[in-house]
Amino acid sequence: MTDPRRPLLSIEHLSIGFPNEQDGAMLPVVRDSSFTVDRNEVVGLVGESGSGKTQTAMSVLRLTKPPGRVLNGRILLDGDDILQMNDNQLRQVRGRRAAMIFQSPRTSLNPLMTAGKQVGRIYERHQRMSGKAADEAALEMLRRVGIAGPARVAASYPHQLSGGMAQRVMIAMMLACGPELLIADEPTTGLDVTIQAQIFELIQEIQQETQMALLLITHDLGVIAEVCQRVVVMQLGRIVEIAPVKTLFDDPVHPYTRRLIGSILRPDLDVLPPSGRGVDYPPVPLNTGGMAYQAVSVDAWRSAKVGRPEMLEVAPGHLVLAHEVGRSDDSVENPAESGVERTAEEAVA
Amino acid sequence: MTASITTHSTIGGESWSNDWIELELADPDAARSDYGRKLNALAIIGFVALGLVLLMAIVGPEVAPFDPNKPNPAMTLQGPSRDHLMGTDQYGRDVFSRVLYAARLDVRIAISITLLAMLVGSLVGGLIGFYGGVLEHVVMRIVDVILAFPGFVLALGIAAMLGNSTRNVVIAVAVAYIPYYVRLVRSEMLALREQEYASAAKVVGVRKIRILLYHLMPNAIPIALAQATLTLGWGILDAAGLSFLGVGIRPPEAEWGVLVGEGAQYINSGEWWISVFPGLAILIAVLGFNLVGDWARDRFGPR
Repeated sequence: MTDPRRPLLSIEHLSIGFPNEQDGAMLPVVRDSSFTVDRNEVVGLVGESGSGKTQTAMSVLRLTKPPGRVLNGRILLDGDDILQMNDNQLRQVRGRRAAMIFQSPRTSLNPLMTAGKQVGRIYERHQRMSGKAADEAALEMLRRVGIAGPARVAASYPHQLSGGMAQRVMIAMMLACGPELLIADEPTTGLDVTIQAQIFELIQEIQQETQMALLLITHDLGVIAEVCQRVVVMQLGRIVEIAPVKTLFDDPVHPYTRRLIGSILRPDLDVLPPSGRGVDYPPVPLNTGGMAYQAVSVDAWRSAKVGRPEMLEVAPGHLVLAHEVGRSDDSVENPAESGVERTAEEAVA
Repeated sequence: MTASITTHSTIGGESWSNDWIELELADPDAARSDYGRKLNALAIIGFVALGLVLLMAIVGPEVAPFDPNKPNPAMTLQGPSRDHLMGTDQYGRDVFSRVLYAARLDVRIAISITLLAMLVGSLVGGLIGFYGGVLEHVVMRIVDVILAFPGFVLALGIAAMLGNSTRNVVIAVAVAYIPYYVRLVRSEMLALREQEYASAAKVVGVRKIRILLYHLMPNAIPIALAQATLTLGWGILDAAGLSFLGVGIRPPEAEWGVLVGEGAQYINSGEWWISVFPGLAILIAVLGFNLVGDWARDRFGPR
């Protein structure tokens, strides 16, 4: 059953749509997106607001809110297609195999239950512990997520907790499930900077300890650089680049990724990051296998009149969304070097 | 109460107390706002009136000076006096004792009506709000139809259909109030089901029905309770109204509406006390429940 070579999570050609208000036609917010997360791997998912990061993550646990729905694709968790599961199978996955931390910790906790009880319930449910044993396990878990006075926090209701504390409780809840995959959707939004650092440190620590896979959604590139091994970049519902973290920062290929990296404020340089839309970021030419391609910022697709995009592997493990523009002129130097091949299967219509 | 702040800062030394971390725990009392907590004058009047009614209901029958149903042919239609504080009726029964006995019955009826309406209404409202779909539309249209009737007229019709008995009065009036709870709890549930803790519960694999019953419904209780205090008042008025019109509690049972009805025919001939005192009791009860209900709605209801 468990094949160690198989990625833990494999998203294939995923499209998610929401109906248009006028005529009810489905507008895709995520299009033909594919990426994988291996065991014990930390993958970052970055992109601006509205790029489809959260929708992608939600769909993994099938939390897409109606009227939105998955239009196409497969989501394989260790080989099992989550989109094909019935309610019972789904409940076996949720919590036990995959869990998720949300953006706003305080509203993610039930206001009428104490923190300790909310963590304890998980133990009662998943480990079939008795009430008392579960309470003790909950205390232990609260201590493990760095809460100094676990007994006091356990007896507190969510409104009595600070945002940082509430997020720790939320993390404790999800860890109590013991998932193989943890999805963290901007887990530090709304927390101040020092607490943000603490929470990321905690998440990283726990990931290393438990060896669970982590899909981290954030727009903080600093965090990405520090925590992740691989990065998936999304723009306007498309995955535009997938690369090992070092490659992404040293050698970004896609114009959008370049723009994203270029937008990091550098206090040591007396320049402001450039701003502008895709048209200001010229397409990047890529030549491979005798064919010429170019990577175009998604918001400039229409004006550039591009054809169907495909994922190009420009280096091992480094994929870029690009368009074919014809046969390559061999005199042009190939910026992507050798070993380039087409990897994307035909896009699902 | 407040987080313990220990100042172990040995300056230049090595030991800092770890207790500072507990400061992340906000002061629980500071977190609550004062809005609506202060009693205004109307609420105080309400609580006094309500206290009086509840006192009558609880100890009334025990302290009543006379048997409420025992006629006394020698003492018919006597005005208020030392022996008969509220006078006597046409059979010589003590009006004061009858009002006291009726208090218990009326409060019991009001509570039954409210519990029934709240339970059924909240459950239906919660279910349709949570699951949505065609059923939600069907139920809401039925609710609209019921609400289009004046509630009392509806209760009157149902009571007339079911026949006179305490149980039927409760059912008739409760049916008229169920739609309010359906509408209220449904709209609350529409908001609650989008809460992130509902998603969080889903994420850890909690069954949908459990999310509804254990995580969301308890959060809808405050809003239903605020409505319940109002229903208690109007419930008494409606039950008394039905009895007054003869489709509710049947005489000679002591019930405020019955008492007012019995006395009504003597008002013109000057024996005002037979109906005025039970009428006042109804007034005080409805006023008490409503003023307290208004206060509760400001305090616990939607903001």
